Amino acid sequence: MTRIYFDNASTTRLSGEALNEMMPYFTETFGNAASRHSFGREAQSAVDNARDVIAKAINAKSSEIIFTNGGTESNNFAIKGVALANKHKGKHIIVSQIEHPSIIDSCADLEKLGFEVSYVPVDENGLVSMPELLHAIRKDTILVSIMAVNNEVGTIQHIKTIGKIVEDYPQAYFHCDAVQAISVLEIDVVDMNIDLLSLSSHKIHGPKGVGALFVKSGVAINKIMHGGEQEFNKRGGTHNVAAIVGFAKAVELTIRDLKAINKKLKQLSNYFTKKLEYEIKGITINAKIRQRAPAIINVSFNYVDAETILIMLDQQGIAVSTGSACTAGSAKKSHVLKAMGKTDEEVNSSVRFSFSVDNTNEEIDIAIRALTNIVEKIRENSPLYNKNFKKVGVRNV
Amino acid sequence: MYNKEVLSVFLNNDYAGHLKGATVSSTLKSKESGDVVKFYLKINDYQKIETVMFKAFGGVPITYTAAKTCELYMGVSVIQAQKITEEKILQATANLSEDNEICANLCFLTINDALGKYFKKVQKESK
Repeated sequence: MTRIYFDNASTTRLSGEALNEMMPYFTETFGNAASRHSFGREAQSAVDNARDVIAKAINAKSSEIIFTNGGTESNNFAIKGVALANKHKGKHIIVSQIEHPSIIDSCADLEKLGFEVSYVPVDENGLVSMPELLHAIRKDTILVSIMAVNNEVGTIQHIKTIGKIVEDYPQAYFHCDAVQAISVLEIDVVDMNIDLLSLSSHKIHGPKGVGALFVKSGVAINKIMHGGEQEFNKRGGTHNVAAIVGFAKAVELTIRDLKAINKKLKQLSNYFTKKLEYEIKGITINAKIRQRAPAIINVSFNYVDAETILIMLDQQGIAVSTGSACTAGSAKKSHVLKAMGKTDEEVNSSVRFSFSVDNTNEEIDIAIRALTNIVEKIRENSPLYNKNFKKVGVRNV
Repeated sequence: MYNKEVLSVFLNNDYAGHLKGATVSSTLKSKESGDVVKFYLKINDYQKIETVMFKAFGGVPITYTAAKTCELYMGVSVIQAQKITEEKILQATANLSEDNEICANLCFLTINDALGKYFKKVQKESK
């Protein structure tokens, strides 16, 4: 059975180049980067080189890059670390309603400690409302956190504009979750007035288990991982040197090939969308705007529940996603689609397709053939389906 | 997330689909989960439920629960059907680790709504 992977927003295949770069650090250069002997110094040198590569990619200084174990940790670190370090200045935080659960849940935790969090709404395409943001920010706001590219629907926020808004409030820091963004946009933390930025390796064909948080010099942030003085005494824990090296290689290749990557992804995205709209009636492409990452397409299939599509596609070797991977296991409804004003039926019938440069038009052809048959079969058994696509009234209990 | 039995019933069961010539049907939606289920009942002149079928919107839990509900009501008299409790549906769907209370409740209410329609129909016809 041919296996097709359309869940690259969840994770990506480790690239051969990144793997090759990592190999020596499993067996030959295996020292602890914090050790003072030559084994440690070799490992430290590799970490430092990786740090330089990542810093350069986002126009930051090397001393501003802190390695973590991934995007979730980076987000937790940014939100909680900044909140706790700056609570004497204020206790108000602003995030959008469609942030990743690692941001939303961190904020929920801070609310229990007496912080006040404003959740700025988005429009029907997932774009943060600037008037609402301007209305929400105030003198005691210490942190604004808005993701650059949404992981569920792909919407790209106006990060530079948001950076300018936060700049007018000197006591407030601007954190940007760029976990899905580095393969989509050119990121310049200086030009975008970003104070903190989260990155993740496994979204860009790097290894899992490593990420980074950019922390601009001068930003007050509390340590949340205690037990070591690594990472400029900001984040304790032995370095995963091999993963860090692989991460840097993945970043290097992504920046080098950014234009080509986006060109390929746009081609795949356009091909998929045209074919899908031609073959299957009664669908909605969510966030169908230019300001969307080409790799991510979120589609609502009228009268069909998404989980059934996912399982039936999986039976045919095709991997897609509903909601975000971090919430899929808990079968929760997508807070992102709800925030965009989607009805329960639309939320329950939404599937995310996310591509990488590994995917091909042939794979899309196979997937859409399978999808067409599956959707037809499910619609026959759906209590909501009307052949004329007229709404079927149903009583609530 | 779902065990083999649940997935097996979800992917292959004899109760999913439209029932032509159904005596009654009912469709309800759960406010809590957004799931929707429709039950069709074919009841013969001896007031025995000959066939039960369903259509469901909401994924594995509701489809599995609806199929298990059909198994419970298939072939019983309408009098016996009234004695089937929500608890029995919960027991039949114990393999579902989560969501089965909401789904069991929805299936129970919907199938009983269909039975209620049947009794009203019978009452009307007897006048």
